[in-house]
Amino acid sequence: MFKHIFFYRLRILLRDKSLVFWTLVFPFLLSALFKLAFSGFSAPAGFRPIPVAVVQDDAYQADVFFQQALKMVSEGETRLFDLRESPDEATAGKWLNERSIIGYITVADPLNWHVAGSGLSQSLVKVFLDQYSQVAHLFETVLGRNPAALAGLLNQLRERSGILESARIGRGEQNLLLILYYAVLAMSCLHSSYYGLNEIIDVQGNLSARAARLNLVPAGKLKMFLAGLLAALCIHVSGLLIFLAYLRLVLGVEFGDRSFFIGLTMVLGSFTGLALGALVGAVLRGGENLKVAVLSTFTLIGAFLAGMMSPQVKYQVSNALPLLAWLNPVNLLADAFYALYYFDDLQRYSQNMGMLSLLVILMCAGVYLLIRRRQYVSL
Amino acid sequence: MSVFKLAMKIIGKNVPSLAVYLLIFIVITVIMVGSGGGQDDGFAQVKISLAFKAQETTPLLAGLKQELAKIAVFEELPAGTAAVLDALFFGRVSYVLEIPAGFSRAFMAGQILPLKKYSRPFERAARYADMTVEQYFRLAGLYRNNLTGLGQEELARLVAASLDRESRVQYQEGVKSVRPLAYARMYFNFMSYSLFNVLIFGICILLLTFNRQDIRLRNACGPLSLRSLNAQLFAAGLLFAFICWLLMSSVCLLLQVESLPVLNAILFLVNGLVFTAWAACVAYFLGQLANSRETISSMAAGDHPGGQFPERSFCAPGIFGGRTVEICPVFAHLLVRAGQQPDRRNNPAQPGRPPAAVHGYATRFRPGLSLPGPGHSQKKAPDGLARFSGRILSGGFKCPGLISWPR
Repeated sequence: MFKHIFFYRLRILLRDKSLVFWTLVFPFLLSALFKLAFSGFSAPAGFRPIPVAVVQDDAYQADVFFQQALKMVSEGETRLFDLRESPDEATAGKWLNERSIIGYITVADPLNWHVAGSGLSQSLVKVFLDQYSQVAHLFETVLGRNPAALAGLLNQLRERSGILESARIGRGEQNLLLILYYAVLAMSCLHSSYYGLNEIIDVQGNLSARAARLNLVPAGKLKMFLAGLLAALCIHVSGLLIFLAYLRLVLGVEFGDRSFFIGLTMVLGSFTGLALGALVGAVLRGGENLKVAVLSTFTLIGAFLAGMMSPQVKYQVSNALPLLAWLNPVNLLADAFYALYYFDDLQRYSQNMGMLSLLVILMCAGVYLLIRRRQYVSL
Repeated sequence: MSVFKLAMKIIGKNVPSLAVYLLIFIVITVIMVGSGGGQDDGFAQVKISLAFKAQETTPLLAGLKQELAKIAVFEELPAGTAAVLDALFFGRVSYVLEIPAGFSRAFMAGQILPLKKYSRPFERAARYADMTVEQYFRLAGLYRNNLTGLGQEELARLVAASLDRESRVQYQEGVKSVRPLAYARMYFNFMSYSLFNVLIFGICILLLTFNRQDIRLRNACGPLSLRSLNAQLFAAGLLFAFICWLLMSSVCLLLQVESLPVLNAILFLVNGLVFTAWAACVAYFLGQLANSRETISSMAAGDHPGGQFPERSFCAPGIFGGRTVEICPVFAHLLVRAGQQPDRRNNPAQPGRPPAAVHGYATRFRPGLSLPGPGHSQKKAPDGLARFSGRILSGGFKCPGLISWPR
């Protein structure tokens, strides 16, 4: 009997074109639009040298140390500056006016940095020029107290300090756009709630004609409900797997290499959606449109809080309203995908999955208590 | 001109709903562009967001923090590596510096106990902070190695004295600021989205009224020729489009009246006007396909990918990929592309792409509203495209954008 109901539910659900479109086709379109819209936004491939100029006047020609210092930071692949040498200040000023450089240097005491605006690049060059003056001051101070230290100072100045050590930051590349895709995938998982709602409507005798007929057959309501849920889960998870393959292979979205956990997350996410839809269907007394509207609103707001409209929203909500973040299944799913991609350990992922499982258990218990042994005065 | 007057009346009755679009656009654009900073009126050292996590408090580290305060704004992060990684991923901080316990004592003894830094690779902000930290300890190391008997306080004082030496910044007053141009470009780019929406809504609502079967039958019996009716409707649509363009453009000019060069302003305005005329024609065409207000919303939502401003979407057009711009030349990108030209004229070194910053966006999504329940067999009205193709097949369609009499 279970098998019989299962296959019929499969056919019924697959014939519902609107349901299939919004749960299985729409995420493809949405993610394709994301890709199309944001394909121009990518992380920089490397450090871009800053275009600056130095005026080759007599003072510059006389300062050999400064020439060497500039040369050191203007050569090689990791150079700080794209240095242009200007014969006079007027030419450098013309370049600045044309915006082909962000500023130019003239040698004096202290060094002059000519700019036409403020920015990180201008500030960075200023820090470099400050350092030259600062080292000069150090020489004056040290040699004033210890004149024999000159040779040692020159040698030590060439040594690299090695005081900073770069810590490893995450497993994958830092790309904020991934949060958008993770939120879309999480939202797609939660779209199974429409299936859950359908199942409740088709099993509650007072909600639809089909359910009224089914309530007359000699089969347990729970059995019918579970068969329907399983059919919905099979359809939805299959769709999600295809969607995941599309995201990874066609759109090139990075998910990391933990495929098993990603699959597990999607199955749990899909089941969460089913439970949510069933709960909304069982709890709310209004018509189907109202229930659909509630589910749509809940999923959409959840996706917004999970960063689908702006990745920073997810971070701000997690910090300012952590309880809301923990109670939002879309955020839990999106965060699970993010944790799998970015974090080395599975602690954060486990926390998300644990909370999601707890929500599922609570929702299933609620549904069970609401629909069990319900009898109708008349159908 | 009875049709023209009636058309203007219909548009006038919908002014409140259309004004919402205009107001939202103007307010948010002004806030957004205004938050980018004012005019360049001098040099100011840029400060990055930095988290300073020291496991000890010593005079040496106090000096370092004081020095870092010149280039950074300190952010407090929750404990744990996960919080640091999150903050870096979501851009709350650009740089995190972790100092282990016992660092200062080891440093004074000439040993190196590395400081752990977290930053995005290749970021200019990271290089900025790196240079400052390294310079501080380079100077401290040189003093420590060459002057004997220095304590931490004395060492920090000497380093601070050296670090007070700065180069002189000379601000070039004569150089034209790119801010007004960037402002105008951004304004006119976003204007395209809002303008397109307003035109679609306004003109479609107009045509929706005139396309009603009973009104069309009544008009067919009237003395007015079809050509005259269409011409008056089209003129009303164009006038409405012109007023919208005038309103939106004048806001930008009012805000930038002194700083925006005249030539650039004219080019921006001409671009906008051409786009407006074109958008009005597209809206007129779409008006023939619309069969309800909901259809108008859908068409407005689908007019360009990912860029619906008033429909809760808001993303900088410049981050659209090249392919998007190539395959959507008939949409609002016409103005976006054109809008970049005046800026380039004055600023050859400036890349055409706006700053790579996602302003955030949303997408129009209402799955539930068209989700029929089980057994729902109500006959649906054909959607716009089906209706359009149906009309072509049935021969009741004369020319896109023109009202035709029903057969």
